[in-house]
Amino acid sequence: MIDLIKLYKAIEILKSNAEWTLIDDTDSTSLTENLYNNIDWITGKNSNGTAITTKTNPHSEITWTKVKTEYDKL
Amino acid sequence: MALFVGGTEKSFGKVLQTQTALFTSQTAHNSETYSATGYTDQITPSATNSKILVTFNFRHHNYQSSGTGCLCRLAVFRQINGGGYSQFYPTDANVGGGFSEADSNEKTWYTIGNMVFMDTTHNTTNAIDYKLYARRDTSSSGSVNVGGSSHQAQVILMEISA
Repeated sequence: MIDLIKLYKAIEILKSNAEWTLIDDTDSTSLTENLYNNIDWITGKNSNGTAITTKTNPHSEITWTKVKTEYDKL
Repeated sequence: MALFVGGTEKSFGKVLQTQTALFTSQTAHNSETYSATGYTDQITPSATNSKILVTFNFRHHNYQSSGTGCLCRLAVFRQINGGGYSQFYPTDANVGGGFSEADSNEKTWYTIGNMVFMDTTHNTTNAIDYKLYARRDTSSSGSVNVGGSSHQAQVILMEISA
């Protein structure tokens, strides 16, 4: 499985305060595009207190290529 | 065998069934809104008045890159008969762990989490799902991560007769 702290750092470099959540149940230790595409981007809050999420990245500053580049530099 | 206490026969709840689930997945949570971990299990009670002993054992770690602390909140949400999850235990979860310090140095805090409670209010023989949720505390920075490094997590559900 990947290093979630590195992923957090990589995304924070590109855009601080972007909110997301990710369930990683893979064995891969490197960040793959498939896993990146599984990030749930948080866009709001439901009435039960849980996050409203979307797989569609709403942050133009954050792309797979840029995240991968920053992740691999860390 | 009957057990008498003070001359009165006492009855004790019997374990009717157990369900267990084991996980090695990990999740990241960097919002002040709850999002689901992958840790969940389901039980279908045999009686409406039975009790469900719920146990979650897991690791979590909080990471701060800057700021003045990373505190987490952890709560188990319950869903009955697929009707949608709502926060169940603790009903108003506050800080569940982490650090709150005046410096902004990068740091990570690791710990084992154990959540054990008795569900006495399900009142159903439909399927019940319990799922762990996590979030950052209000005004915290950084990321709350549950699991990691293939650390095993386990959910145990035990139905006990009334």
